[in-house]
Amino acid sequence: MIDITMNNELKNKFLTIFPNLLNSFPAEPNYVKESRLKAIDALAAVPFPSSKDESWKYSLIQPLLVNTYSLPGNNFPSVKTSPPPVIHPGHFPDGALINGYYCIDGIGAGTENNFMLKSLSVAAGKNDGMLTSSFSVNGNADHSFFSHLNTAFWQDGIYIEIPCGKKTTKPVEINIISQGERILSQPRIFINSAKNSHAEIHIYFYGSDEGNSFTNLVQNIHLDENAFLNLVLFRSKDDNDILLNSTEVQQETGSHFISHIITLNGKWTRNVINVSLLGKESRAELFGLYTPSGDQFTDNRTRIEHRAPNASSNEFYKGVMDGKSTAIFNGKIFVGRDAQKTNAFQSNKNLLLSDRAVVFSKPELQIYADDVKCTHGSATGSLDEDALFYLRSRGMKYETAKKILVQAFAGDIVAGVGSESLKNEILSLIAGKFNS
Amino acid sequence: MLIIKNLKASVNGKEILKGIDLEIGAGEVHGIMGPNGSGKSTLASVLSGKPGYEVSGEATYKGKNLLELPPEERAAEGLFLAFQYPVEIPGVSIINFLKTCINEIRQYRKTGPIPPKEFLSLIREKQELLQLDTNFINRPVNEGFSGGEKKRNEIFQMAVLEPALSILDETDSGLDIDALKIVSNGVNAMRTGNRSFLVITHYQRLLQYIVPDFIHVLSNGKIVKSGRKELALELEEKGYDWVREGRRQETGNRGK
Repeated sequence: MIDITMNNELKNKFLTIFPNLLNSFPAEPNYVKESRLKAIDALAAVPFPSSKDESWKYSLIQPLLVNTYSLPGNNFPSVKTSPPPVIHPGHFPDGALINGYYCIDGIGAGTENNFMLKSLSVAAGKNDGMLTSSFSVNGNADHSFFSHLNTAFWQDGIYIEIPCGKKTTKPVEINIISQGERILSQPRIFINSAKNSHAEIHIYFYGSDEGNSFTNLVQNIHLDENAFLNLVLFRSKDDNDILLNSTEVQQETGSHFISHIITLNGKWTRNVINVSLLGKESRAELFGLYTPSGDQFTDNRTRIEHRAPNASSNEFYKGVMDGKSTAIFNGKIFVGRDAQKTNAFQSNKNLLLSDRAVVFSKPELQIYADDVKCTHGSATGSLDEDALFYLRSRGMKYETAKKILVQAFAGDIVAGVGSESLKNEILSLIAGKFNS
Repeated sequence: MLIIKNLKASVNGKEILKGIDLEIGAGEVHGIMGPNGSGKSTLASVLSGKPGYEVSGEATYKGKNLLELPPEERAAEGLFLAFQYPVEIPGVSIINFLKTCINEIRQYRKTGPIPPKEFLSLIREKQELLQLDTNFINRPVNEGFSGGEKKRNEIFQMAVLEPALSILDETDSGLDIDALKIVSNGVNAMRTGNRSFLVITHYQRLLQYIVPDFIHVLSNGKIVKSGRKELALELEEKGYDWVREGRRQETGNRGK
């Protein structure tokens, strides 16, 4: 075990241990090794995040610095561990990552043959070209310290493929779990939606039972022509785990991508998603919901690149904030010169239940094509007093009226989650959270 | 049913109700008329418990001090306000809204939740009464409703919740003659037994359809005239200036 403290020293420590780590993956194909080397060079060139950095300007960095973390051993999963926590009683996930390693026990029997799911390091051994670019330094959504760190040091991950024309009959479920005290894990997920495929994938971030893990997740997603993917990234456990999640999506012609990034709880979360609309008539819909309370921090950053004509993007992010929580929404829309007839829409709304909660909402538009339609809007307010009184005048207790208004506010963000059970779970968790 | 004594209310130090005395017996319909700014809507708001008013005086409802109860308990005790400007609640369907209301009220009254079958037949019955199409109850509460639909929805809610005392705050404003008839029929259908109504209106027209037992004229925060239903016609004929004289008279009295 190697102890790592999250500060400027961290980088030097990582640079020192890197050669050893490289040797510990002897079977790794060359392109992966090279990507690690390039990432370590990139890492050497960037400083540890600070408020001087534009993309970290309003982020709370201090909570990242307080703990010392252990890198999990590389002999996992032969290490004896308890079975993964049951997140949804009664059924197994289709895939699980524990401390960044692919988990072979306690996962679904794989009765469905409409998708393939395997260890990312196994998949990387059979280089099919697509993975090569995903490991490149530029393939990171965040282009930041932590994405480079992941590319250099990722342990393992999950590879999912929805083959040509296949459609999953139920959501593919993946659990991301940490076990042990103060574990730093760096998993990767690669989703390959082949032509005309159709899938819904749920990624549950569980963190650790101890509630003090640090997860630096990178996801790469590719949608081939006319593929459809509805991705849900869900965090709900109330703990001190830290989650950095950086998702890079590339879309080909006619593909349709939907994301639901839902952060109901957790000390510290940073969700970065970049979508590149590379093919014409591709369509991206990004939904986000964050409900921090206490001193929780949620940072959502989106970047949509319109690179082809007749593509559309819709973004709806909503926050319900209580206590002295802090949230950031930063939404960038880039429309390239060739992306004529682009239709881009962005909206961020925040409901503040406390006068000590702080939200930073920032749209950024960069448009280089002349025939485009781009709209954006941001609104922040407190609970509507008139609506509260209206509900109460009909016999609802104050708490019930508040719960109903919060649920209604959040409801349209989760409306597009295909799974009814998850949708209801999210809404009842929100109701439970603000039930006082 | 309701006894109001020297009820005063002010907002930000500005007195709007300047001492109202009013008694509504079980089964009675009272009309309140008055010019704009006379305090009609404030009276409705204060009785239903809207926050934001400094209130003094007495309002005793069914023997309880109404002014001490939060709005939801007033509703659970059988008080209902049909809003002049019903609020839009996006994302909440009328049917879920009403079911929650009924069950919260039943919880307060310590009766169990309404059986689903009973609830559905209640809804169906009242939908027919207000001539609402079947899809109406699945729409979000008041969202995108026309003025008439909003008012009809208020009376529909009143019919479903079956309150003992209903306050109708300018329910006729924004209604065309057909909608006015439907709304009035809805109210009249409920005029049975001990149910009481306080009908607030600017115009005499509504009181042709919902015929009151008593009429009061509110001016400058006080009731300046009370009488039988014929008073409405007199008012229509002579205008509010007629009662404003009364107000002057009172001011004069106070000056003595």
